[in-house]
Amino acid sequence: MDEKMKQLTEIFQDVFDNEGITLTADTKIKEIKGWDSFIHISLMAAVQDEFGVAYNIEEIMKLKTVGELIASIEGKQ
Amino acid sequence: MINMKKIHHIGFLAKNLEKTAKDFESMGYERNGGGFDPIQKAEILFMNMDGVNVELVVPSEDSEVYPLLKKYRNAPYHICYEVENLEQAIEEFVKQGYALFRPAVKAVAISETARVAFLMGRNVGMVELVEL
Repeated sequence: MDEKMKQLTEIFQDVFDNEGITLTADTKIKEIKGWDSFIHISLMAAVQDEFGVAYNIEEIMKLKTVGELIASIEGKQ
Repeated sequence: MINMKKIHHIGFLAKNLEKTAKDFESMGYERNGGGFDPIQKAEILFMNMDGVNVELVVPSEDSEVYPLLKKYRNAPYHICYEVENLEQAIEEFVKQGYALFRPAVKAVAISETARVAFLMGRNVGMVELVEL
């Protein structure tokens, strides 16, 4: 969990172009400053590339918190 | 290496379809069909010059790429590649970590039989695949 949180933090900082982003399991992805639907898809592309998992579009759009995202990655690995 | 036949077109965001089309025409491009594409949720117009197709795209507010229009206004934003077998190509891209965000559907703006899919790559951005 900690290692994934570290990897996800780096991904979020890169995609949002904001090194100040910190994440917790409760962080709501859509409430991060600068979020939009295109950023969301870009995030998922980075997650798929980083963790070697695949999502369909329904799964991508359903993920709301960082905790849900980590759980879904672990469920797919 | 992923097997693709050739580049089919370059997708180009346009804030105002008519104004952008006229500027492309002044560079020698000719209009080559289009219309509203319910899949991309966008007004489309193909422009052609010397065998190169540029797809002008004016996304609706509910399109995933609408935020890009707000950010970049008029700019290229995806490359579309022609493939022999759409499902096989999608599978190869997904294996390499691309996110499939618009699964295979008919592309009425291209032809009656064409099917397209859209993927997002971590380092290359948006990729469209078309099977004619």
